[in-house]
Amino acid sequence: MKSISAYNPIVICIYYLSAAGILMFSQNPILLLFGAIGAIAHFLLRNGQKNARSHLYFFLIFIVLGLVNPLVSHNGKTVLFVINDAPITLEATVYGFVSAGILVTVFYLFRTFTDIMTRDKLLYVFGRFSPKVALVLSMGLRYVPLFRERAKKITETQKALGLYKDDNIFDKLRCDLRVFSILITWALENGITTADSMEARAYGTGKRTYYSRFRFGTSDILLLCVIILCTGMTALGLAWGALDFAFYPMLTFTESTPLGIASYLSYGILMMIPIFAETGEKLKWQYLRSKI
Amino acid sequence: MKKNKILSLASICLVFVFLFSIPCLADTNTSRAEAADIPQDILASQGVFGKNAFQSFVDGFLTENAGIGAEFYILALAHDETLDFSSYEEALLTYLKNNKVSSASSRLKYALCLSAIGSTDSYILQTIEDSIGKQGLMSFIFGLHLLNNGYQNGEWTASIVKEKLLSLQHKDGGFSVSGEYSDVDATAMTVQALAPYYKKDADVAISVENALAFLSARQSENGDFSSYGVPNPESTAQVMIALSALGIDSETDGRFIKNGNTLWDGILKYRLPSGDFCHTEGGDANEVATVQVFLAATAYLHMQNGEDSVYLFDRANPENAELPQEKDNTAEQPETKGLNIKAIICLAVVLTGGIVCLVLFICKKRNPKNFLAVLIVTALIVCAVLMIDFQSVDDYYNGADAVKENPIGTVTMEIRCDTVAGREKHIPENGVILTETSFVIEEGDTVYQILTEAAKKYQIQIENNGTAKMAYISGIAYLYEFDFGDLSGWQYSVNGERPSVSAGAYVLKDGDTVVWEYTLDLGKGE
Repeated sequence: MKSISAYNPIVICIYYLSAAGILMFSQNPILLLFGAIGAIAHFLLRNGQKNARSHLYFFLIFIVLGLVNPLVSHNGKTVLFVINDAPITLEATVYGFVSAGILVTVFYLFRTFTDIMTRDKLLYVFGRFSPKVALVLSMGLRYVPLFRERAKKITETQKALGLYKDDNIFDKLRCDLRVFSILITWALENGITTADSMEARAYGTGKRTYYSRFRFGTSDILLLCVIILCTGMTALGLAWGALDFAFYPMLTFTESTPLGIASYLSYGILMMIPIFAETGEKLKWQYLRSKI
Repeated sequence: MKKNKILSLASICLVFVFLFSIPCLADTNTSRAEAADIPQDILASQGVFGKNAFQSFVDGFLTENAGIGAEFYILALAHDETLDFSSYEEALLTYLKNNKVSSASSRLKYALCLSAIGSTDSYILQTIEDSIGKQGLMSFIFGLHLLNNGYQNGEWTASIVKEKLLSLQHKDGGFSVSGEYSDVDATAMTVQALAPYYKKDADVAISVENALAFLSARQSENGDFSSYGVPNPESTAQVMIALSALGIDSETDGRFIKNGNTLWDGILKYRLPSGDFCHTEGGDANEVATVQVFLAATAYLHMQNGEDSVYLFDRANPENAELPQEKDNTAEQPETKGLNIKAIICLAVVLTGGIVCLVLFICKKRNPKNFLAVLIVTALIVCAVLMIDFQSVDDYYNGADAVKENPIGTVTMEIRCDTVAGREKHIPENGVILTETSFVIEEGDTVYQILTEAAKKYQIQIENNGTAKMAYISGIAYLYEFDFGDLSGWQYSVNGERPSVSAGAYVLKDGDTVVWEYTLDLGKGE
């Protein structure tokens, strides 16, 4: 099995759409567990020990969003304690953490997605329906790494100019604010330049063609079948209510039926696909190297 | 500990096997004559066993379960003057000292147990003063039992409570804990409390006769009764206790013999081979069912011997009952509790701040401004925590009335959801969330304030999406707006009219009738 990034971009797109879609439409803690394990493990497998800061931010988002819900919603039978005449319930807390978990899991999924889907792949998938959408998507997704790079440049320049030498929180905040303002100005100016430049190259005046080097091979068809099968099974379970989970007024699972168990299992398999692919690739690489 | 529990459980089972096995071994469909022998056989088996078995039952199981299930055994066994309940008394008082009992009826039940075993503790008079009438019908029933035994404290006297109970009777002769549908258990328990006045007071006699007619109509062909649609021995046992308290022999009274089946036939259906009783036919042994049948058997025996109601206790000692201390310290307790939680949280925040400072120090970011920033953030969080009012669940839902210094009148409030009654599991089938209940109001009290009061007192969940002044009630009792379509939600009306202001802005006056209703169509359908 080859790494997931080596498959046809259409297959990759369908995979991420179904993985994230099921998660967002289900609100089920068990599906969330499978999803979170799959998404985080794949992210770690690809990026290793890097991105400690991202993990910290995601964790903070998870905690804050999870704790906000019980302060706002007071539904649920199990009252834990009462703050300013407002009962804080177990059910609202669980609901908050499940929603926050879904959001953070989707963050992780999209981090790997943007990582895998390079600009040429995006153009290949979306260029067929609408070149404009493809261009907007590709430009939009480019902005995050671009801005990060520019922010670094600005900070370095500012430092080189001899400012903000003091190493403390207040100065750091002031510095960040200034860098941010410069970054925005630069981005706005840059947007106009880009538009002018594209117009000068006659963008949007006629039909465009693309060259793509992607083929739709047997392994792509095979993987696509597995994805559709797993997604279909889980969607069936969702549609039949076998995966229903009620948060209010009390946390209650629907009784487990064969359909429900099959749906859980197929979503589990769906989320494990990239991990199998990645480890399979690594093992193959190691095996081939050992023969040299 | 576990071994002890198993041993004590085994010992009750043993006691009950012997209590009930002798008369009931032959067959389940015991004939009426044999059924009448059951209580006597209980006495006989007492003799056979000697008093030690019961004394060790009291000192063992009942003492261990003081406050958590022993109480009805105590009410039944208290009539045996050879037993010594001192170990149980001590255990129950310890339990009451360590646990804040939130339900007024439960407090009265404990007080009744204390009076039954001849305790003189101040808890009895204290409870009479502060719990009668605080939780509807049940608190009047247990209160009247206490007053019947000669205790007296505070504003309530036996005749006032008696009148109050009579006024709660429904048109069909029955009573209910809440709502307008009469319930067998509530009716039977009310009759038990009214029994001592049955022969002296004409009003009570009429009321009790009506209640008996209601009960008679509810008896099934098998002789048993149902509660909320489920046939069970507990309801039947309560009717047995009620009849016995009135001096009526249920085995011979035609009103309570259906198809040749008497109450005892109805009860014995639920006897298990082990000797204890189940809640539903074919179910497992149930402690509540067993203990209530035990009390019923004792009550029946009292009736046969021509003795008083099983709720009148020889040991009761009202003359020597201690008066409660002024309760200054009890009022302060919850506040200190809240303070403790705050102190713990503040300490945790300060500690975290300290740890962050330490990390900064170790990471060589030793600029004083860094530490200043941490200090400011910590101080802000501590201020926020100090401004928040923490309460535990028991303190918040304590079932007590709100204190009103200058009452200007009373209003009634009702919460109904007839439009969606029984549509989901958590929605009451009769559509009543709060039956018409009266509340004392002060100058300036709004509809929202009364709703919050009801929520606290009757443990109703409410969700307000606005502020106190601009309240917007999105959910009551787990039923929310938009749960049944885009036009569904909660609406209130005062004296039949729907004000076009927020419930937090509508100021009530004396005699107003507030009704909260769940609508499916923005209130246009009604």
